[in-house]
Amino acid sequence: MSRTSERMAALLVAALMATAAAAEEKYEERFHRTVPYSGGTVAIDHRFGGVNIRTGSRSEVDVKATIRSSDAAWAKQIRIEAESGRGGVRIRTVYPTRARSRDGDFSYSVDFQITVPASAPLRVSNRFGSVQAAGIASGSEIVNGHGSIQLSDTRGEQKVENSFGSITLRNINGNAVVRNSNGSIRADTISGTADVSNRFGSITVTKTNGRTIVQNTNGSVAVSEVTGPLTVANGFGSVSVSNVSGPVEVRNKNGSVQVERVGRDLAVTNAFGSISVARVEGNLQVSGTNSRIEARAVRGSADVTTSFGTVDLRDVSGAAQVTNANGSVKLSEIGGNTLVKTTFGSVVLRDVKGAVDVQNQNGAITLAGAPACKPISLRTSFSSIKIDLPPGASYAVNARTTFGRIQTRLPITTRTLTDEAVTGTIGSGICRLDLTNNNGTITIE
Amino acid sequence: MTIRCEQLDDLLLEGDAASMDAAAKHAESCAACREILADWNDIAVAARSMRHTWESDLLWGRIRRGVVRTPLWRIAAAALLTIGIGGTTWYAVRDTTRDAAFGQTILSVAAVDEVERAEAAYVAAIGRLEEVAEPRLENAEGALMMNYREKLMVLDDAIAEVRSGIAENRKNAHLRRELLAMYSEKQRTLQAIVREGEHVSNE
Repeated sequence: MSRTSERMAALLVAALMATAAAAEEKYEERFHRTVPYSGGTVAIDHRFGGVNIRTGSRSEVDVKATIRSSDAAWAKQIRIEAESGRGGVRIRTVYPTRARSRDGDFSYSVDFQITVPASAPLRVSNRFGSVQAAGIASGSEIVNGHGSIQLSDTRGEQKVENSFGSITLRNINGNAVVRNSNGSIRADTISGTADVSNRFGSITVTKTNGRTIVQNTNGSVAVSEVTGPLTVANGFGSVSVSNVSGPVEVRNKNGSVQVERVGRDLAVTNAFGSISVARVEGNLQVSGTNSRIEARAVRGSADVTTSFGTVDLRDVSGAAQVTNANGSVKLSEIGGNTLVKTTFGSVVLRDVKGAVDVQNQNGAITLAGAPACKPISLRTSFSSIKIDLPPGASYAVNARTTFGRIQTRLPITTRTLTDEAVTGTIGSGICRLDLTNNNGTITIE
Repeated sequence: MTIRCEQLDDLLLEGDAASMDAAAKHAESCAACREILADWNDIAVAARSMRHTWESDLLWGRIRRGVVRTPLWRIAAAALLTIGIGGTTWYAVRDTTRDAAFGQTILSVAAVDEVERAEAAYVAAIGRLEEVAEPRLENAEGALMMNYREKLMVLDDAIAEVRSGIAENRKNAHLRRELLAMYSEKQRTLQAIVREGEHVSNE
């Protein structure tokens, strides 16, 4: 092909493309209607397009819409109804029934910009489009499918429901009920109660004042700055909670749980996920299955149960009770009585002020920084027991083992003394010290 | 304050009274800087003498005379041209903005073709993943797999819903975005199932 022919062909292709592009119809029409508002609900029923709602000071509802379509004739049949009645104002998009003969390649969308009186209760139903609303002062109910929802600066009770789209709430003065199916939920500042649930998406809630309930099935949950009671339930996702002044209950499965700064009691249940807790002003109750548990700075008592995981508690002002199976236990700086039950794991206690009762099997027990005089009972088998008593300790010692030895570096006034049994007193012998072992040594220092 | 020779330029550029005083003081004890300062002062004096002002009240008169002398048709033509260019520009900008907004809402044929190719690629990838994932889903009894099964059902329902919307509104950009997002989510879910299955079988 000659150069001239090539140029001609290129020009032809370009011209054809330009013609094709120009042939695509772009129909756009504006709709504007103002209807008087004399009370009742403003109800919006829409499909295929976004709804943007703002508030105004006048007693009227201002409806603006942009109709876009790739087929002008069909778009002209789209009807927007905006009517004022006794029940309030009703806004509806009515699409013409699509004739089979016209099942072509044309498409359409209608985007709304609606201004409503701030005091008007709002009800929005949309599908295949986003919903934005701000400034509503009398409560709203927004149901959307396949699009995002944004709601901000509201008063009154808000109910928001979505499937397949994110939900964002900000500055909600009142109670909020939020439901989603598959999309993230983010709520920032809810002054009333917050009831938030999701199925397959993350949840982030920050700053709530009333009772807060958060439920998820498969997604992460993060909640912070709650002044009321908080309940969180999740499965297959992590849970993170911080700065809650009310009592907290967390139930999770198959995900980690991390809780920090709780002003009241904290109860955590988890399975197949770690639990980490810090700074609890009330009592702590933790139940795990196959969970590693770590807790710091608990001002009340701590009651911890787990299996197949380690337990590490530090700085508990009250009593500590730990039940474990197949896992080690480490406790330090415990202000009250301590009870530990475990198997197949070591128990290490340090700086315990109250009575101590450790029941172990197949695991070593070490007690360092024992109280000077509190009832102490340490039992295990197939491992060692070692206790470090402070100066001025006063105990009636009863130490027994089989297939092992008893060693002591402290002066004991003995009544019985063999390699496998020692009874006697340390100091004035006021408190009981029972050390029982099978197949292991006992060391008193 | 002790001034070094290399700071002289900065002081002259500052130009305020304090800077000029400091420069002058330094120049008293430095011959080279004295010379520079003298040149600077000469230039400043020359610059002041070059400044020229004139009465502007004649300017409007001259313009008015010019306008009066200009034939009316020329003024009208110039005004029309200005309005024409302005109007055309305004229309062009408005149309471009409208076109952009339209394109965000209703896709062009070329864009739909591209989107449909992307969807077809997703569907193919999902099909391959489903072949691997489905036996694992059927055999697994754990809560996680049940959860995944439920999620896939929810996703399939939603995909069917959006596809029915697309059947009557093929070029609607929002629907297309939603469908792609769902395919992507389904692909991620199937990948997670395959990963979990491998994890379980390795255990």
